[in-house]
Amino acid sequence: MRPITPLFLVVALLLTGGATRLAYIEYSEGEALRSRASAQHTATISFPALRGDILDARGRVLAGSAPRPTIFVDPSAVDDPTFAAHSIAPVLGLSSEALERELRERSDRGYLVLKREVSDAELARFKHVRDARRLRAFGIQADSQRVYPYGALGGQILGFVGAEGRGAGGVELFYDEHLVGTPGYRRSIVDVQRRRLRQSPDDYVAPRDGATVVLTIDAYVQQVAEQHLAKAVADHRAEWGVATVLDALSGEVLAMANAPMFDPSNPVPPGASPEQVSAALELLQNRAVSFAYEPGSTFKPFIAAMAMEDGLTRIGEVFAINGPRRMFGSRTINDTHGYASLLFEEILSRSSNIGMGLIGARCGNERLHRHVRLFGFGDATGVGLPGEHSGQVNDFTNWGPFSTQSIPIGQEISVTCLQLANAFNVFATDGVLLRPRIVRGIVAADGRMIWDNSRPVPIRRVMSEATARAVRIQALAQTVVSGTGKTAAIPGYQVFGKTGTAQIARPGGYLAGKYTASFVCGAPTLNPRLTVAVSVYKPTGQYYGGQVAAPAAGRILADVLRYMQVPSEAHFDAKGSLQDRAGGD
Amino acid sequence: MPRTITQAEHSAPPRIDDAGDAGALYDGTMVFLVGLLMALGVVIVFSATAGVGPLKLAPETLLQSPLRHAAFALAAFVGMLIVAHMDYRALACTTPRRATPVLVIFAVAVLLQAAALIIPDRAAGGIGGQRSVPIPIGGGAISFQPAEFGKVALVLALAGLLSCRWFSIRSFLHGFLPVVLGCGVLIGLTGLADFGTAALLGVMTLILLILGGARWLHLAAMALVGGAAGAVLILAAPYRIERIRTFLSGAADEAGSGYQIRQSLIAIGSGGWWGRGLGASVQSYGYLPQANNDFVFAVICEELGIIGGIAVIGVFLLLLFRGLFLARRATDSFGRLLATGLAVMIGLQAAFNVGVVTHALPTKGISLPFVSEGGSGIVFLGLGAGLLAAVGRSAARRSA
Repeated sequence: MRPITPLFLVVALLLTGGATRLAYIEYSEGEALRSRASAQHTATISFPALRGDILDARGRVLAGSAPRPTIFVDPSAVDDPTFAAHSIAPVLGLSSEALERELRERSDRGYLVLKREVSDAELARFKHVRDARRLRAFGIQADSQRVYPYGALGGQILGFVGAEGRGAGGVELFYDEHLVGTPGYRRSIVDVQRRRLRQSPDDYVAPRDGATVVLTIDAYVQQVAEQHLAKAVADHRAEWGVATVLDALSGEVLAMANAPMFDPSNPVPPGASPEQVSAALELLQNRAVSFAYEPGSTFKPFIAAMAMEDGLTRIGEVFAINGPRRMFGSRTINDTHGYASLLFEEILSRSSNIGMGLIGARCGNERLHRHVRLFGFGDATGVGLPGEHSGQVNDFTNWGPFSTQSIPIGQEISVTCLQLANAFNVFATDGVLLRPRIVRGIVAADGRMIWDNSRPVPIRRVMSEATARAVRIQALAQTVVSGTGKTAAIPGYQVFGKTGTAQIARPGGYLAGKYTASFVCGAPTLNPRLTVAVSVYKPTGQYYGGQVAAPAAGRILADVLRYMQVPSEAHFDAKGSLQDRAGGD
Repeated sequence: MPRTITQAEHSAPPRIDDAGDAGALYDGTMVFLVGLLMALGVVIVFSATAGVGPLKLAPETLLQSPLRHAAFALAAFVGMLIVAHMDYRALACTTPRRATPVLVIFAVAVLLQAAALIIPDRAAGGIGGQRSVPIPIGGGAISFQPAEFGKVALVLALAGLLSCRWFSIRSFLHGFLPVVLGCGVLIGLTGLADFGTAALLGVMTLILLILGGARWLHLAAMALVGGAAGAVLILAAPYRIERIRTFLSGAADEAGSGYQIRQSLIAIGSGGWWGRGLGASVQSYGYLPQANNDFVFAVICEELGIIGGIAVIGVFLLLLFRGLFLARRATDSFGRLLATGLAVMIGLQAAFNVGVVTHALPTKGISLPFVSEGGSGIVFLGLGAGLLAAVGRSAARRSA
């Protein structure tokens, strides 16, 4: 017999080679293989977070989230597509054949949504069938569905939520990072059919629901503003209109109305054409902050008050007007009525362009520019809404001789409705410019305060208390008593305001016969609580601010003052002049 | 020289080693090593199959349950002990008449292998051919693998014939040719269904013929014919070409035939040096096909780590060298040839299996001896191991 030891050594060498090979595999690709292993062994299921609510100042839910069941399937875990499809499809009102085809085609997938927003009855039947037939591949998840209980109310403020659950437009967009929350997940070790293994503990992180955004908007005020604005826009067949209602003392935006309105729960009609989509997106624009227009005569009080503040004029000064037409250098300025002379306060209440031209001449460009900037024009207010326009104040190097008369009558400048209301609010606050606020605060789902924005934010004192009170009580109140804004008068409260009828600027001139009719006002005059600005774009027929915007503004004031239970202040006599109680105040 | 050493041993105090124990009936070390591998196999196979079905301890479901393998392993262990207690020399072919039992066993192996090709395999035991024949029993079926029986029978028959004086392998017509033809029939029948085992049988035949003293000229001629037959077998079955191509392409074909070897490497790698822990395999949850039989070694590496895998290889090395020790100590050439054949076959099969699992060899159906689940296969292997242990019966018994 031949020797056997060499044979054993060869076999031992082969076995040792196997051991070496093992060590080499670990050494050369161990890490790569482990990452591949964890990739194929791990299945992650996401648990959506509920999107945070948007509340009005009184706690009304303007935008909320409701969990709606979504039924999904893991096609890779379906053993028998025919059986599964014919069991589940009828329950959900789907086509069995289509579902079976889909299950077969997507059998490599781990997740497929079958139906969203399943009704309770469907859900109960689905659960019954699934459990009875042991269809483990089918599951239910709670998806967050956005609901807007007040319909289109404040639609442009709120914006909407897109298909991906992310905010699009308005508060939904601006505070999306707070509203959206953090989805949770469960990471499990699964077998090849994607079933969880019992042996391994799951890595579970609970979803964190989004934070609640509390607005300064009051749904009732918003509704009132929207109703009266819509009526004005409809009555005057205007293109659109905006209205802003501020709480005078705090700078909180109580309402910001747009006409026409935007319905956040139906942002784009299903199957919309590209034109309809762009129309819907146009509608989404919150023009109260995103659209800047020439303010026209509504701008006059700012210039006149600052001239008075600087001692360049005073209440009771008589200005020689010699209207209705007057040359300033090569520039002709027209008044609608021919006045021989006007008091300083009458220049405002009767809205004399010539009078403002004279005041502008006294100020000079440099001073005018400084005054305009003091009111915050040319700067975005920072109210906290997306797409806010800063308005346009030309760089001072671009001001020319015409500016001296253009600026005092609200030309060569553009403002947003919010800027206009907020600047006018300086008269209501006795001279202090506040930052307008539309969000009072953000509260996390666990009740923790993320952001407290409930206190007024003063920016600067623009004019003295005396100047503000004098202009408000003696000039602006007269607009409503005897001037261009008599249509804004309301029972029980003295309104102060200023009309504006601005031609619509186009490059190199103005559109013929197209106007922005505006009225900016406040009430009550002695202790102002509200500031309202209404602008109606391109009305047909009547177009004066006093005719188109002032009645709507007056009605908003009347309704909201009553709602706020502001004490009536009927301290004006029959002729409409102020009684002495004002002096003793 | 060996004689003087033996004399020195006689004067030395009695050793505790039971193999050297004067009264030892069989080699306990061998039984211990095989038992160790079987026990490991029971645990690993249970772990690898427990996830697939529910665990029920009812008699009628035992044959499908993860405990099925435990039952077979127990039978194999008992069978090994029984055979180990017998005197292997009863099978020695000292006269032509006494060659009958060995030749009958071999003939049965050939017949079973032929039967396996005819009986349809509804249970679809192994991939790419019928490695097992289901035998219906009660509610279930025992899969019977004739190839496992054939391996032991081949070694036994060759060892028996080549070690007897009346039979000369050096004669071509009356020695070499009939032996080779007989083995060729068994190998050929096996190879039709199971190329891996056939290759192993071929190698074992060659080894035993060399050790048995066959002429080199005859062996060269046989190698030529055998190589040609192997080539025909490869070309006859397309999946074998596919396997070789998969191997050569470096397992690049993820979804196709490279999937299994890729998953095997993932199992090995995901264990790291120290493994996930016993019973913690994830790859066996359907990712790794045949995690309970041909690729059980990958699951061992996943659960016990590279260290565990090397330790298992170490056990096979110990088993191999214990076989060498027993073969060298055997006084008769039948025992020596039998021990050599069985130990080398077990070692080679283990090395092949590790090679396949670690992607050092192309995928072919070779199980890990004593560890892989394989129905009745482990019982025949256990009987073989019993023969191996029986060769270790001590000199005192031997002379008695």
